[in-house]
Amino acid sequence: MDLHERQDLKSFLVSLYGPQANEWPMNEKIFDLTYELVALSGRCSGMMDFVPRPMPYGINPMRYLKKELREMFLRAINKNKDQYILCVKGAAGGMSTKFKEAALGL
Amino acid sequence: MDERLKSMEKMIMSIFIAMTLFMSPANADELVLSTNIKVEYPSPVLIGHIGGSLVVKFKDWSFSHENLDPKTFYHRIDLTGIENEFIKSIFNRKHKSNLPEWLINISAKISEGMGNDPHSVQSLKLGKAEIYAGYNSKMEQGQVFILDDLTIHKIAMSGSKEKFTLMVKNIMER
Repeated sequence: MDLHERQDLKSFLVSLYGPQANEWPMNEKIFDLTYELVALSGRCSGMMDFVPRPMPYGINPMRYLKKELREMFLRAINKNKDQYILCVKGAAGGMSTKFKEAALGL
Repeated sequence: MDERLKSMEKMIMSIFIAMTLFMSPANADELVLSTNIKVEYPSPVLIGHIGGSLVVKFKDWSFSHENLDPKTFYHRIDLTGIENEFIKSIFNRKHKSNLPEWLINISAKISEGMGNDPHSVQSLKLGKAEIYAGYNSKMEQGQVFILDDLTIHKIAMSGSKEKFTLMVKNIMER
């Protein structure tokens, strides 16, 4: 991920999980979890445009998605935070343990 | 000979009773949340700490604990003073709260998003505290909010429903 992608991802996650996300490394695993959160919650119609279906089982989204699609996805979730956070907030609460484990490198 | 056997039997029995009386339950650890509440859990593979959160990891499941900050729980909304009502309204849609309509709509969206299995949603009393819990089978994750005297504890769990049920059962009074 380049600097802009990492900034977009962090900005979205800080809005979703609060200041604790400032301490999380914006890496491949954190991106994959964010993508999984959107795909599994399946609640934001705009966001779902970025989720290719069917996504092959066990595929790592970071490597599966082309860079342009990845950038568009991150730009969209960051620019439309108010709308998108409302869609994923419920599911995000339960996934917070996975994010923290990833941030600890577990 | 019989008497010697009987006395040995008695001795072994008393050692066994002493062991069961004085030893703590096998491999049970405790996480103290407040003066009133604790969580018991089996010995974990590891415990991590990041930000204000504790992560407890087992072989096939894990949970994390944090204190809910009403100022940052929901993007751009300060829930200070109404955080308990807000959590209650997420888990109990029939709960009559004094929250404004727009906030009730947000809590309804969060509730939908949690995707909890209908029979998994629980609200329990534990002394003065209240526990709200729900599990989502599709995502294999659960959430527990403990409305304690001074704070709200949030526990997020990742793993099977059986482990979730066990974890909720092991939240107890101190």
